[in-house]
Amino acid sequence: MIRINKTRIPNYILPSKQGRGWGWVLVLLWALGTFPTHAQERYHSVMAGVGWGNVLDTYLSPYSYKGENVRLMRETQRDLQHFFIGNTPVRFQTLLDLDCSFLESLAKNVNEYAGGVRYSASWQYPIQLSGPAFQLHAGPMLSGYAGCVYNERNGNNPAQAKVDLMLDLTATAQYQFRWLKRTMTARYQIAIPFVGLAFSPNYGQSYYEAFALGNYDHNVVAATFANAPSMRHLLTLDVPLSKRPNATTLRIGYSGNFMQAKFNNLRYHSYTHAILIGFTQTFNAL
Amino acid sequence: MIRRLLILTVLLTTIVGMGSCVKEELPTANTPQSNFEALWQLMDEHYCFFDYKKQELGVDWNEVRVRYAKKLNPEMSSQQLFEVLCQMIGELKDGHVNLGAAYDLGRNWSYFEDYPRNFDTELIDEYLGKGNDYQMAAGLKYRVLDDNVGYVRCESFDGSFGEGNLDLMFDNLRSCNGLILDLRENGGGQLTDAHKLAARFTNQKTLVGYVCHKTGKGHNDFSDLEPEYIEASKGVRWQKQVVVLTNRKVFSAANDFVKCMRQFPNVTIMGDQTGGGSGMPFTLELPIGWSVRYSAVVFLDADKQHTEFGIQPDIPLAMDEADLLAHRDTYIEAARQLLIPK
Repeated sequence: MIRINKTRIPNYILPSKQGRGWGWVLVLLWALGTFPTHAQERYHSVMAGVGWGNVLDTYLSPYSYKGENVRLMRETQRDLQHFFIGNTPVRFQTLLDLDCSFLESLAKNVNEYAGGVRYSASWQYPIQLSGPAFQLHAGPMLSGYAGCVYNERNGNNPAQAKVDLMLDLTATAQYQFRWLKRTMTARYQIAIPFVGLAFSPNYGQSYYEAFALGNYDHNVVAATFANAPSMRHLLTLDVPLSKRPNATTLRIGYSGNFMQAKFNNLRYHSYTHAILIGFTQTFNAL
Repeated sequence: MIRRLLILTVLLTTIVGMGSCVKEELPTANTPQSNFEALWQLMDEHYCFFDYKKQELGVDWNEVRVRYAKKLNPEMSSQQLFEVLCQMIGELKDGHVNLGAAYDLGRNWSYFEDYPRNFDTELIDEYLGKGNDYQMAAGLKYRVLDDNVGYVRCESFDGSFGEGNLDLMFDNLRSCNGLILDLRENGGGQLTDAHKLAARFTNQKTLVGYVCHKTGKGHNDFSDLEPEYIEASKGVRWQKQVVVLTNRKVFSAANDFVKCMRQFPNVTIMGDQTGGGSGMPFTLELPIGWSVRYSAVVFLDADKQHTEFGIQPDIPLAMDEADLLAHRDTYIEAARQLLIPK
């Protein structure tokens, strides 16, 4: 059962006479439970990674291109103070994921570049299966992607825009354990795009028709887990650098993105794997 | 209940997702047979003029496959394979269909190679003059001829001129009695450039043709025909008579330019039939790494007719040998006669 914590609205976010508009926005955020009103832990994590990618886009080539992948990720996470399931607060997470792949054709004579940015926000509900050391969360995620694939050889079909706005489902398993006198956290997260909208040209449609002449033809398509079966995995291990509370934490991890789509008789996949390294800092919000 | 539903949904979508990989559909092995099959299938699924080529040339793509498959053998060299594949796609007689290897470009340029050229570069240089006799507006060479006729040499639509260049050029030619737009040898370039120039010759939004693209792998899987218009330019527009000179090497975007100009009242097309090439080419590739260029998008004229094999001029003309010997360009002289006030 979801319940709203009936804490009084703190005075400092009540609308003032001078800035009444912004004040009500703050009240709305507070009501949605996404604004920290009490001392609470929130952490920011920044990671960089290298790995490899495999991209197929039949608008550009009938064959997969393979090569290196680099990525930057930023994650923030906190417990919402006003949304609870039982006694456990709902967890709010945002992920910013930038990646770029430098790819080569099957015959290794043409280069292709694929990259973009995905921003996602998720509300993860606790699923209490055992003690506090092991936690499971699952919930909805809103994510949006903007990117492109560029093939350096093609003439009138040199690039393909990649844009989507999806409702994903995500689940996180987290396990805390003591090792070397430190509390470490291992975490695995999966996100599966469920339903949304995506951009795609039609099978043989040129960008000239769509954007110079304005002849759109099923260019915004409904994407579901059936025609765009995809998933994103994030596996991390947080190792505190000292024994102090809220000490900076070294994070090592793995990111595996398996994006696929079959729109307008065009086929697309982007499989990327990256080994990540970064830092996590925990803050006490006032 | 909510928890169980969440877990069930995540598990179900994971299973569905893991069970459906999106992979390549064409052969990936780099063998003569595999490359042959990949090229045939790629063209079969993407090329946009099969029905028209069957009607005009009798090309049956399935029969082509059977005939050329007999020429393959597993021991053949890559150059021998290249030759066979080029012959196969050459059956389509499409200047936009090419096979590109690092050492050669497979092509069928019969659209101009089988016809008189009707053009002499040195003669054009004589008409333009030397030094500052003529002016250049970002690739467009122009001058005022002795009889106060403007002459513009447009060799390409390769993206070199902008609206500002056109404004200044037409402003410089404003006192001329008429204009000769020499398009001969213009092999095309960017459609947007061709339309940018065409927009200088109309005062109103004009229907110039229709466009459609393939929506699937079948030979007849096409989108609806969408009208294509040229809007009057907001810059300097030419209001007097203009003669467009064409030969068989006027191809692709230049062919489309002629298609547009035919719709305007003050325009006369003079010379030889254009080379055609009305499909917008896309590029894909074979496992061996050779690029495959093919016509992907169909552009029709305002009467919904193909211009793939060229556009007939309003006034057909051939270069006269006697004129050549006298250092006279038959086309330019005929255009001047048409434009000079009687």
